[in-house]
Amino acid sequence: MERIIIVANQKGGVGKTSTVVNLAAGLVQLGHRVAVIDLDSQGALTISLGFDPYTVRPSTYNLLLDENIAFADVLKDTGKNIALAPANAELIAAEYKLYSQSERTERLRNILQLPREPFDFILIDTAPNLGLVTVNGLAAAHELLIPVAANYLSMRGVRSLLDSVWLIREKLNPQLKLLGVLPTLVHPKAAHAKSAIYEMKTVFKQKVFHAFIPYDDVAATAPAMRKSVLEYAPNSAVATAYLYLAKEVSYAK
Amino acid sequence: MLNKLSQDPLEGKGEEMIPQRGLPFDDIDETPLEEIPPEERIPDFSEAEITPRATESTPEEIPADDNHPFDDGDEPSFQLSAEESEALMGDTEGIFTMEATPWELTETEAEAFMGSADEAFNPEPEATPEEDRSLHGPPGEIALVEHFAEPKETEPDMGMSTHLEDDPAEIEKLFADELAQPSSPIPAQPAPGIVHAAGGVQHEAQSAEDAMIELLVTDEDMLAMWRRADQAQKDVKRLISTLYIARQQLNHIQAARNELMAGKAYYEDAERHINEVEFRVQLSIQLDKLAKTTIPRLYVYLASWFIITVALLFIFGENIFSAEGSSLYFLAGSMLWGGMGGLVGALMPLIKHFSVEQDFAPRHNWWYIASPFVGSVMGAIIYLFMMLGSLSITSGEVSSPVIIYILSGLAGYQHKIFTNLVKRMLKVLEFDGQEEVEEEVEPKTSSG
Repeated sequence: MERIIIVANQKGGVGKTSTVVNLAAGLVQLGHRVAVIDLDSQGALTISLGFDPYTVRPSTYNLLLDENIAFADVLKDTGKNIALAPANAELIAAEYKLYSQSERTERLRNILQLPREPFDFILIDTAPNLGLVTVNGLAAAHELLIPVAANYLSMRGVRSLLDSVWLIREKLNPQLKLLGVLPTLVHPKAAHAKSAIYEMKTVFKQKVFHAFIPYDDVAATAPAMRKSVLEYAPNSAVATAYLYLAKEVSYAK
Repeated sequence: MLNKLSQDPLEGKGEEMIPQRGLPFDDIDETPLEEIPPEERIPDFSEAEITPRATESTPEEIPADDNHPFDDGDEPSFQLSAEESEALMGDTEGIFTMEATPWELTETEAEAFMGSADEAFNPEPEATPEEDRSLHGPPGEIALVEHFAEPKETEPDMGMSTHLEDDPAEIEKLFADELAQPSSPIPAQPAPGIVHAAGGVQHEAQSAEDAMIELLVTDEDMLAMWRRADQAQKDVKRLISTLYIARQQLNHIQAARNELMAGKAYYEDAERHINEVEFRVQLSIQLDKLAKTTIPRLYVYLASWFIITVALLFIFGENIFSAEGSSLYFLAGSMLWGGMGGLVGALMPLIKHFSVEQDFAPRHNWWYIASPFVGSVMGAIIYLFMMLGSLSITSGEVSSPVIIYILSGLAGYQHKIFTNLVKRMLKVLEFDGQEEVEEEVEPKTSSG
């Protein structure tokens, strides 16, 4: 059965896009069919997978606003066995245009529910805000993955996301469940980072992934090479962590 | 202070991730995250390395002298050699052994930036409740006045720092409040509205009015209203085909959404807008039904009147328009033209309310039916007035009947105006009569 996973955190710079790219690559390595949806107008996911967000058309903007477009029409072949629904800067306008539309919060869900080629996993990358586009993602998803940088300020960003999740579960998507909390940008020797993971485990208990993503330059360099870390530095600690995460996600109930 | 610094600064801060209502998921404890078969586990990720202290001990069990269970002497997963480190970082010895050059301000400079240190470190006595209110916000008016007030001379703002940075006492207080926060989740509160929730904003204490609104207008009400707006928008698209009316309704819907987004206090305003749209949509549905039944019948009725009137004018035209014709013909002519006026007076509002304004109401059916009759009667009255010389245009003599017919037509067309005119004339007569009576009465009362 297809699983739609949204990667969200209101805090920026916590590794949402890296998580989507590398988790997708990890899941592909495990033999799954994977599609990713970029709901961030900055198009970081689109860039990371080798497309230019200034020229790519159609995009998730069209997916959310054009009634006559299907999910398959937007998907691009990245050459990595990952299908990409790219984003471009037009997505900022979608935020405003959606406001005057009916079913503005359920557009993505409605599109994904139409008959189409199934995937094993659809991963949704979101912008670091809780606007209508992100809400569309939360309404469409089955599971929520929260990457949290192992520091205090990043942890605080989780609260406003969860506030919104309350409402999303009550009003739009009661099926949305927490897949897990992923500690990212972990300095392996930093006491602060370890304490942060400890605090995450205190609150989210079983839902904190065993995998944590260490802080490493390769995670920043790989997108510049239009590659996932698993391709760019397969032996790095980050690649190992994401592969382990992919296994955890793959086996999650 | 030293004791505080030695503690784990993140201890208990995990609670800050929990919303006021608690975690939105109820399976945190029950469902393990994953069950990777042991043979598929990656050896590089040893449990000891990636499992923090949570699985080993609870915060209470941590020995006082070992607040950092990770500092357990385990080797890190990777270690740079001295050569690698130097290749990456260069010679860092100088950086870390460099002595800091103290940067000192003269006393005058310091005072210009910070104000008097004595004031800062010897805060004034604790504020009374009244003073406290003005410092901390609610009621809102006081806080706003404070916020927009001119900066005081005693607190020079160089545009370089906030007032908090200027006032160590305030900073001390802020941290004291922070530390005094309970570590357990705050008891569940009513859910914030749709708009408020996205920001996760903490609200100040509610006023009685806000509390009442919170009680009377639930989140469900807000959501239901939002859905009504959605439905109304769909109905407008589907049922209203006239551009300017659709635009008006969409403006109402937009206004309603703005009201809803502004908060629960504006719920009623939003409801009024939505009611207007729903009423308009209902009207439109009703009009579609009437367009197949009542309205065509009214058009046929008025068209029949027109045909009959024109036929009669053709038949009796010679007698009606002749100045030498009999009075009976003039009366008939007046009635026919009055009826024609009434017919036009009915036809134009019918077109207006059915096709333009699209607010035709069936309760006015009899008005449309009666209008030609009333016009005929008005024509007859006009003729009689003219004959009686009440209107001094012809002085009772008919030189040309055309004037009578024009007046009859106008009277039929705007019979309401003419009816009011007649009423006024009658009132004038009535008033004059009353004055005469009063004049008669007054002498009697004055004479006693």
